[in-house]
Amino acid sequence: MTRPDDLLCNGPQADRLHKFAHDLRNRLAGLHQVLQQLAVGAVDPEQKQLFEFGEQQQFKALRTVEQLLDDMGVVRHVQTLPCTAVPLAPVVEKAVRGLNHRFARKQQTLELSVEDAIQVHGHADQLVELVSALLSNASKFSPAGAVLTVKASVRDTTIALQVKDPGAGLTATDLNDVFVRYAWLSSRTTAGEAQGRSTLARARQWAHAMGGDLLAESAGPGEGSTFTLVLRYPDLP
Amino acid sequence: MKKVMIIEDETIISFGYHLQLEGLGFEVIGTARSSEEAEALLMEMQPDIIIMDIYLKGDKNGMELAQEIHAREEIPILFLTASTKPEIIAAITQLKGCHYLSKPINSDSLEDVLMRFAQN
Repeated sequence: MTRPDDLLCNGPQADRLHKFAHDLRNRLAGLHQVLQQLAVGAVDPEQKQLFEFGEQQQFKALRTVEQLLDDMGVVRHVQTLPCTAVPLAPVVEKAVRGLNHRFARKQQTLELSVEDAIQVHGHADQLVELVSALLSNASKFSPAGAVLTVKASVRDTTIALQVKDPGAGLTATDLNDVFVRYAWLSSRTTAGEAQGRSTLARARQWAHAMGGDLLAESAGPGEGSTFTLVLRYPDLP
Repeated sequence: MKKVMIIEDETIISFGYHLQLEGLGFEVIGTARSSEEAEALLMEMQPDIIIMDIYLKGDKNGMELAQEIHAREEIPILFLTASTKPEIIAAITQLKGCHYLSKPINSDSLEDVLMRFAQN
């Protein structure tokens, strides 16, 4: 939808909206903490249902804040990151090492195929964050014992890093919203892990800030998902 | 067991982090509600990891406090923030040894970042 220019915020208005959103998110975070405490040890299905309802309302409120900021054209992500030539294999290794606790807990294995020679245009620390987000997501939405695959491939003008899982998969509606901050998707983690509901949205923003992109594919519920991080070749010296 | 210090002015949020961290197997060695309290605690305690808010009560904000801490020693710092201002996020990414998570925080995201910190 095209926004009329007179609806877009200027500097002081954007600052005011940032402050409003910050304060509201803080209040909602406080409520989230209370909800989590109330949910500890809840065994009664009605109690669990009540907790999920409360959590859903909280995420809907967060989503409403984001929609307002979108409508008002308030920028809230880093547009560009300082990038260099980054070897991809060590980035993936670091991300995997940092998530070994998660893979071990669910007895999941990883098949890695990333050639040592591959370099990308990126920000090393944020690339680790981004790959970690994709791997964590793959683990959370896959069953115990699953095999997750990570493969880098060199294309004509880009490098693609695919993270593929055999897990919960995504409906067509979920695919539409998977990169939307705080959208309430229908897919569920397989071992009760928490869902941040903004991690993939932020991951895609980081990909854009490095001149790349993040794409999602799924054949449907129960059919697993593939997330593809598309990155540029490093700039020539 | 890795030792963590929490710097957060909202009591309920600080209490929630405390419980989450203990549940994840970390030892919370102190909590501060302002930059001054944090500075006083850091004189007595040696945390392995610090988690803190950007906006703190007191004379300094979280970024200023982080720079002051890092001038003395390289303790990994995790900012937990409800802010999405681009200049704040960009400033955190430029601080070495710092990371951020957006509020509301869930224990799985917290665990992933802290495990990475603990490994490094």
